[in-house]
Amino acid sequence: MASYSNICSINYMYMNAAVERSIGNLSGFVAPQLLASERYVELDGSLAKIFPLGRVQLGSVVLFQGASNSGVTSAVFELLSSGGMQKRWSALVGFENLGFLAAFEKGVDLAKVVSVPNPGRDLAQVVAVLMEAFSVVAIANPGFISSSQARNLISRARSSKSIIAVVQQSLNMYTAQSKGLWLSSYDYVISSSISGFSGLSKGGGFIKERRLSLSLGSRRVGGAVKSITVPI
Amino acid sequence: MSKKISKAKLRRPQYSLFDPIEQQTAPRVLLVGFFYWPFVSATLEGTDPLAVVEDRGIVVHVSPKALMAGIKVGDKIRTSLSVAPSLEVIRADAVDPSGLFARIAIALEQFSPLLEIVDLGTCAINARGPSRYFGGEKELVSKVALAMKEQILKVFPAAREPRNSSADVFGKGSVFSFGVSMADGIFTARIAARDSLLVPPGESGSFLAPFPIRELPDGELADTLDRLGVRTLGEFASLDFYRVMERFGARGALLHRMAGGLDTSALEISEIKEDFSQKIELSESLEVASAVVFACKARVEEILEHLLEKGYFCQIMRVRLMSENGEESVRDWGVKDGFSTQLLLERIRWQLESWSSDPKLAPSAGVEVIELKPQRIVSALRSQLDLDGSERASIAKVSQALSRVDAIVGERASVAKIKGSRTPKESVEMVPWQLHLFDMDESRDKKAKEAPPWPGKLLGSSPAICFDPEVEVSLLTKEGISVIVLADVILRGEPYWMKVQVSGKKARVLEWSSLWPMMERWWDPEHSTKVVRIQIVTDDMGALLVKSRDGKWFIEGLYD
Repeated sequence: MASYSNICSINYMYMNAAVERSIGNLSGFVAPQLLASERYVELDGSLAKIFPLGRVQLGSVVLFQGASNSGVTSAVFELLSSGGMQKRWSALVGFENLGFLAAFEKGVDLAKVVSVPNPGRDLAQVVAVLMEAFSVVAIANPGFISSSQARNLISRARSSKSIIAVVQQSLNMYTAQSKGLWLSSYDYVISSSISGFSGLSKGGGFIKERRLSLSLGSRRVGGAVKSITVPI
Repeated sequence: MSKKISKAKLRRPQYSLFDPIEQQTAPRVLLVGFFYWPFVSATLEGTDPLAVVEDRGIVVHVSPKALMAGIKVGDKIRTSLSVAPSLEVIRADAVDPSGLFARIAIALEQFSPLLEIVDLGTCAINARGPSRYFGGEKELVSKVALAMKEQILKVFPAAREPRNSSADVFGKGSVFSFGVSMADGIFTARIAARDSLLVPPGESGSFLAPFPIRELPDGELADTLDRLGVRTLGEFASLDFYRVMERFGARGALLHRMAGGLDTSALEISEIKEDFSQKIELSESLEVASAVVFACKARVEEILEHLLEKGYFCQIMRVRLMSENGEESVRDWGVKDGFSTQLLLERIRWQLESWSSDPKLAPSAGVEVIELKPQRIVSALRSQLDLDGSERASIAKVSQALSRVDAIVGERASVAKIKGSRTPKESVEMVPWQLHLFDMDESRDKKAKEAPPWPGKLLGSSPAICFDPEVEVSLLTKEGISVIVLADVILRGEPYWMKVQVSGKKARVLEWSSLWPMMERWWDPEHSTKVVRIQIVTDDMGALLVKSRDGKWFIEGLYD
């Protein structure tokens, strides 16, 4: 018996390299394939230039932050209109005054965007349900989520492969609402601001172009900040 | 656009063995159609209304007086308002809040217990059995007409004294005029009801043939066919079935069958193999309708959700109400787009109210059991036949998630649709997601994109935030004097400060645009106001669309 098992193990060791090679070849055919598109949303435009490898991993939590007049809504449109969102559904939770016409003009496929403007007190539950079906769940007023609920949501995002996008404005001067803080651990933090305009002169013309500055901080790239300014 | 369908290819539809047999015979239907139902309640209040019913900007019903003014079904609401500025517009979802129609339609129940309310003003029964029992189809039709008249006079005693002495209560042009028809399938019966015709069995196809293609319940497809040179239902029906299916998909195939008089979509009971019926037993018997509705709400929600999880929407639901003393009320309710909880609860309430207000049949005790039995269910994905499998699965997941969200939030999640208009807010219509999933064609958005710009439309891109309600601000000069608009074209004073009323914040105005004057609600002379819009840019990089109305300034949108 002993000799038999010895032969086996010798054979095994002898074959190891060859077997490994052929398994490697085989795995291309038989292994369950996870395509890149099932793990990432490919970005384009401005966000592609600041996100590492031009894509954002499904299951991550992204914070969009800025004061009022910071172009934060436009930054969200940049995400929703990116190429990788083409066949994906997104949900907007708590966006009360969104200008869908602007989103449409930016190239967002409105047929795949569902809006829940007044989620009420059960915000966390609403977001959890939406994550089962939507690739991106954007939340505009996360004030009603406690930190334990937030932790649950993050682990759900990881398992259901949805991106949570939290949009946070420090104080909205136009509605006098301050947006609640949610949590401190984001995978990506996008800060936006508007750095200039063109097209207007005192009493003439119209706004032809605005310049949107986006900067990305991420735990995944060692906290380095990458910035870009784009015309919108 | 693919190739034109040439006349050479016109030929009788040839069905292969693969066609399910039952789809070639339509059920015999008796249908009662009221011509001016939505205007009945207004008329009873003593006015002869010049009114139309509007659904998403399109006229769907016209009152007799409006008809005389030249307004037709299918007109745009804006154009008809320009024809008759005093026109009263009723929204389609606000037509019959108190369930009056259910109390009229109940007269049909003495002929067949399986009453279907097709829509408000139209109800039908499957006529095969009853016509044999009542001595022939002609006899049944005249008996039904008589019973309907009696029922109307019973429910509306006021109708007995016609305001206009020469007019007959049920004559043409009266709001109570209605037609009774018998034909194969609801589609044919509906057209036949206009002249109270009895179309013999099997002749629905030749009856429909001369009618224009616009009779199809799908305006867009009718337009396309019209452009392709297919002008009548008969011409459409004689196109090859499989070519139509290839070109127009499953919906086109369905309409093709309808045009040939083979509308099977009515009053079918045998379709459902699985038993989805559910009983709701209330913990105590209740008499007040709203209490019953409240008590069964959660279970109704659960039942519909269960159906949806299996991938179905229910189009016809049989509602059986049982009182404590064993009396019963059974009725079939139909909804084209599938029942939501709210719609079904509404129907239950109507049935309860009409049951308890009927002197003969009213129950002697409160309601104890409600039984719901789906009569016709359709796949929730029926309009998604052209999509690939993975996408279909994702739509099923999406509709599941959204119906749960609706239940949590208590209102419907919605999807934005773009239509042509002058202001950013009016250009967007929020559609409940269920309707959207049923009708997921992006052609409308594309059309809006290609459409020429509206006169008075704002230049440049649209604001990313549109405030609703608008945010009041004051625009002040350097000296603190209010800036106002003179003669719609010039500003008095140069804007220097902008102050937001609600937060008290102040910002410096750096630049502002030229002025865009526009009439708001111009189609409504009583409420139309002149507004003037300008864009301003503030020192904290705010880019705003503000407008002046009645001497006040409002932020309409924010270029965020």
